[in-house]
Amino acid sequence: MKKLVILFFFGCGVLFLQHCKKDPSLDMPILTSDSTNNPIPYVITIPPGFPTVLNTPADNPLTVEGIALGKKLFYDPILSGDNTMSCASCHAQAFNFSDHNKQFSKGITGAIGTRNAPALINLIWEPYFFWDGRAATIEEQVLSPVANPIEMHLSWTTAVAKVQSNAEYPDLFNKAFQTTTVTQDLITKAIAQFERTFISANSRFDRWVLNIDTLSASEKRGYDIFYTEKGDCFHCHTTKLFTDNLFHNNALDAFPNDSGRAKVTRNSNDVGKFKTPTLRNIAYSAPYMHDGRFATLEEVIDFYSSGLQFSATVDPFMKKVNSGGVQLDAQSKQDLINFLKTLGDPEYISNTAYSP
Amino acid sequence: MKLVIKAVFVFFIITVMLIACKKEKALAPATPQSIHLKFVFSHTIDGAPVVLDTIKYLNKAGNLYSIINLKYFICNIVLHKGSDSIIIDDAHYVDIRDNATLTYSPSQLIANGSYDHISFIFGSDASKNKTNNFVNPPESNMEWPVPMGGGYHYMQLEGKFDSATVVKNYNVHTGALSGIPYYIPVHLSQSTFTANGTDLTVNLAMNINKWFENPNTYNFNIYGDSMMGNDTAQKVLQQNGADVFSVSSIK
Repeated sequence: MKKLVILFFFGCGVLFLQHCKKDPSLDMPILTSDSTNNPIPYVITIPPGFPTVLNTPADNPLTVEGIALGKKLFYDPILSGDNTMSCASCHAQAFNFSDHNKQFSKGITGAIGTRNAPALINLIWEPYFFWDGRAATIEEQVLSPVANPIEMHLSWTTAVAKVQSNAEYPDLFNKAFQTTTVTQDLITKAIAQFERTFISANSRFDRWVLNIDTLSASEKRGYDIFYTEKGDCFHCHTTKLFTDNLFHNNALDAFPNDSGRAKVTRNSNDVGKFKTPTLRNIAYSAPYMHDGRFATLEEVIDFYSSGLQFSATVDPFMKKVNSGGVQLDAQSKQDLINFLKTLGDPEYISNTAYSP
Repeated sequence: MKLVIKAVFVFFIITVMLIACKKEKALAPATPQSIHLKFVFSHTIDGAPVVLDTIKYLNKAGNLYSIINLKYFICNIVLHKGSDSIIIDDAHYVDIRDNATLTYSPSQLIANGSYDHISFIFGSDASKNKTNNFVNPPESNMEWPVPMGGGYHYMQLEGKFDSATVVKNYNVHTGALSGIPYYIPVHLSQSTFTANGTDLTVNLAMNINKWFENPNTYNFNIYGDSMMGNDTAQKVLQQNGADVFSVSSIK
């Protein structure tokens, strides 16, 4: 009888433990020592107020080793036809990863393109790449400049062979992707990982919002112009990213000679539309617009003040297009430019994590 | 015998603890709320489905206009049922160009019974209209600038209109201006319904022309551009917006 009772208690105890077991979905992740040389996951720190949804493909999670490999590839001219040009040739960190003061970038043969090299910044939140948004991921974007005859001019077959035969790369691929076999897919994944770490959120404006820095009277007036209908910049250059990442015809031309987004969508309503660029670090990344037509911020503000051109697809946000623009006086223009300069983040352009 | 009594006692205690571990089930309401509700948004001009990007619509002021963009928030849907009204404390974003936003299925389930009518807030009330409440697009792109009061646009309705043979842009952007709320409590007529065990779809239609006609005539030549900071325009649209929505069906 005694044994039966003990057995009964034991059964109840097991039942109790089983029933009250914590929901497996709430379990903390089990951290184990890594003896298989698996790459170390890299965690993005999201700045205050920035989007929490990151544009990272499920098949290319960030790792320390993948980012290191991507950095080496980004700065290595091995991906060009004559070993003279790397990604960094047109995307220099000192200039917000843009091509300093060049309207159009020059490829290895001296040929030039038709669009300005965009700045590379806060890419992990971008849903489209290129001015016309024809690439949905950085991985897809990277494919183009390497093979483009007027850019790096190297077939991907040759690119893969060159990287494979390099003394250093197979081991780095092994560390990042657990294979010494180099592929086009893995090259683009590594570069994409590196570029996804490009985060800028420490401008004077950011610090002013956090009450740890100040703005001058002129910069504050510029802030008010930017964020009211007086300047009406905020509709496109919105949120903490200073871009809506959408496509707009911003009234540059009465007859746009570059159809822009329409080349991708084949929709005539998209003629002359281009992706809104961020204004973060804008003072570092001259010239401006998709075709780099404006050399200075002064020229840009003059355009929005009195140079707008009506066309069939001009964006409704360009409210004052029929009167040429928002008609700012000289002081207001200067105030607005002074505010735009507060969006500069010197730490970003000198951050050694992004340097060769 | 004593041992048996002890065993029964322990069994009782354990049973109580097991029930405690199943707290959610223990607190289940007597009347099960098991019906899913789905809202479907459509947009018309006086009953005809909207065709975007074409200057072909005429408002009461005589403006011939097109619709290029229409984005807006609704929040705080209430299913009125005497003292048992159900409040769906959530916000939903609609973009006429994004089919995914044209249906809204609240996670909250409702119980069987008769409901008197449906109401909601067009825009956002003070509890939701706070800068940084939305950090992810597309909702975050509706930001209403801090120097103009902060929060989010209630609505962005935009297009072109023919003004004496000159085509111009118009923007109808509503929001809380400098802290003054202009959101619109919408009480839907003909929204009585009975939930009877099956999921329900509420089809809501916005007649865009209604923004411009009742009780105030809204003229793009007067308010067409830079109207965000115009108190009068915001008031006019707030008054006009009470009847822009109607219920096409609940089934």
